[in-house]
Amino acid sequence: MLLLLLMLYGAPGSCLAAEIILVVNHDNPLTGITWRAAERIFLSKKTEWTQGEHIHVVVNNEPEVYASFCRDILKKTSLQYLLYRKKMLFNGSGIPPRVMNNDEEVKDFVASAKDAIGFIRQESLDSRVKLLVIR
Amino acid sequence: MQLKKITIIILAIFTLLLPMPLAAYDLNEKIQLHGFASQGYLDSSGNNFLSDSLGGTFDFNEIGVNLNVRFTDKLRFGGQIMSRKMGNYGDNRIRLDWGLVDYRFQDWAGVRLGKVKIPLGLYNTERDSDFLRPMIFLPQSIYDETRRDTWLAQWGGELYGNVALDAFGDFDYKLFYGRIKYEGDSVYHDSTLANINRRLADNLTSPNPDPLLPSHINQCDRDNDYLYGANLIYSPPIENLRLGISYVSQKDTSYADNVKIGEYKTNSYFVFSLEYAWWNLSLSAEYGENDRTQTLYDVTTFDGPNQAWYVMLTSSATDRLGFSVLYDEYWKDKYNKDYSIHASGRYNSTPWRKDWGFGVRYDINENWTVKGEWHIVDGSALLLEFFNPDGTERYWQYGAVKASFNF
Repeated sequence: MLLLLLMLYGAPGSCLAAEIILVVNHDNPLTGITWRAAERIFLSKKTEWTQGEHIHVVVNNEPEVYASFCRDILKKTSLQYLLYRKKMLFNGSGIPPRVMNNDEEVKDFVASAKDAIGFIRQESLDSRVKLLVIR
Repeated sequence: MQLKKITIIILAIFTLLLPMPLAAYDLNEKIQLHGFASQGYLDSSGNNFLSDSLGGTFDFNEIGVNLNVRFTDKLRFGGQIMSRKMGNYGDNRIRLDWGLVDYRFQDWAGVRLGKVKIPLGLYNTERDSDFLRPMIFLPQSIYDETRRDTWLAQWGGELYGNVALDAFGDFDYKLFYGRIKYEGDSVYHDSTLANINRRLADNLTSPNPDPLLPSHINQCDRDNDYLYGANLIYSPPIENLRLGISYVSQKDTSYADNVKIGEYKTNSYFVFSLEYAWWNLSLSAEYGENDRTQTLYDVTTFDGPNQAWYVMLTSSATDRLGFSVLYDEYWKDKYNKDYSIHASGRYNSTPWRKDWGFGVRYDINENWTVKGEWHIVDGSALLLEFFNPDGTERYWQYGAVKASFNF
C-alpha cells in the first residue's frame, strides 16, 4: 500500500507552467509545423527540413522552460527526455541536440544558424527569431 | 595486468574529478566526448547469482568513454570503450563496446558499419549503461545476464531509418547482419566448459559409456557463423505509446581442444514489446520466445523454444525519485514445464524462474544516479551450476545497490 501511494505521488498538476513556443531563423520559409513533426524533430527522428537542409536542434535547459517543453510538446517528464537523449549517445545511435542554458542563448544561436530550431518562453520572443506555429 | 588496473583507476579518477563543463566536451556538435562509471554491491541468499554473491560482493562495476565525431550532417564516426567487472569476470579489461561509421542518407534510410549494438527488445542496446534504465538489472527472462556477450553487439552493419506515416504515427526500423566475436573469459564460456566436462564425466560413469568421447577437455571455444535480424518500433498517434517486434537468428560452432564438437543455433528469437508512459507512470512489457537447437558430440541436447515475459511499472514520484515494480517469468521449455532438464540428479533445477522485483532510483542531478532493488525469486532456471556446484535452492532472493556517474 505504501509503495502504491509513493508510486501515485507526484501528480501532473504539480508541473511548472511556462508558455512555450518554437522559434526558427528568419530565413526559414516555414511558418508552422504539426505537433507530430515538432515531436519528431526534437526526438531526432526528423533531421531535415522539407526543403532538404539539415535541422540544427537546440534544447533549452533552463529548468522551468525545459520542464514545460517536455510536458506540453513531447508529453514526457524531464527525466524521460533527458534519458532519451543520453541513450542516443551511449548506445551509438547518434549525437543528441546541443544544449543551451536559457532563452537568450537559444535566440542568439537560432538567429545565427539558418537551419536551427529551438524553444523559448512566449514572452521572450523578439525580432531576432521567428515564431514557428504548432498547428 | 598491474598496468591495466592502474590505467582503469586513473581513468576513473579523471572521469569523476573532471569539472562538468570540461568533462562533457562538445565542440559545435562536431566532436563530443562523454563517459560513465558505476559501482555496485550485489548480495543474494539461497543461490549464487552471476558471481559468488552469497555474502555479498563489490566486484560489480562498469566504466566507459565514448567519442563521436560528426564529419558532415550525414556522416558520423563514433566509438565507446568500456571495462566491467562482475564477480570474477570482466576483470576491468578494456574492450570496444561499439564502434561504427554512420551515414544517414535520409530520415528513412541510413547505414551503420562496424561493431553495432544488437537491437533486441526495448533495452538491449543500452544494457551497458546502468543509468539509462529504471532498475539495476534488466528483466532476466529477456535480458539474461549470463548470455550478455552473446547478444550485445555484432561486427557487421545495419540499415536503419524512421518512416513517418503522418496521421498514423511513425516507425523506426533496423535490419542487421554480422558476426559476434565472443570473449574468451566470459562467464558463459567457463560455464560451458564446466558443463561439457560434467557430461563427459557422466558418460564415463553411465552403464554404456560412449568409447569415442574423451574423458575430459581442457578448453572450449565457439565461433559465430552468422547473425541477422530485424527490429521494428512503431509509435502510433497515441502519446508515449511504443510497440515493437524484434527478430534474431544466429548460429555458433563449438570446439573442444580445437576439434568441432557441436553447434548452437538460434532458429528464431522474437520479442514483442510494449512501452507506455502516462505522466509519472511508465509501463513496459515484453514477451519473447527463443527457439534454439544445441548439439554436442552428435547428440541433440536441447531443441525447442523457451518462453519469457515481464511487466514493469515505474513511477516518478518526483523529478528525481522513482519506484519500480517488476514481475518477470521465464520457462526454459515452452512446451514442457513439468520436468527438470538436468536429470542427472546433481543439479536440482526447476525449469522456471518467477521474479518479483522492487526498485528505487534517485537522480541526484543530471550526472549522478543511485539505485537499489530487491528480488524475490521462485525457480532456478537461468542460474549457472558453475556458481552453484552443490545444487540450487528453489526459493531465493537477490538485491543490489549501485551508484552511477555519467557526463
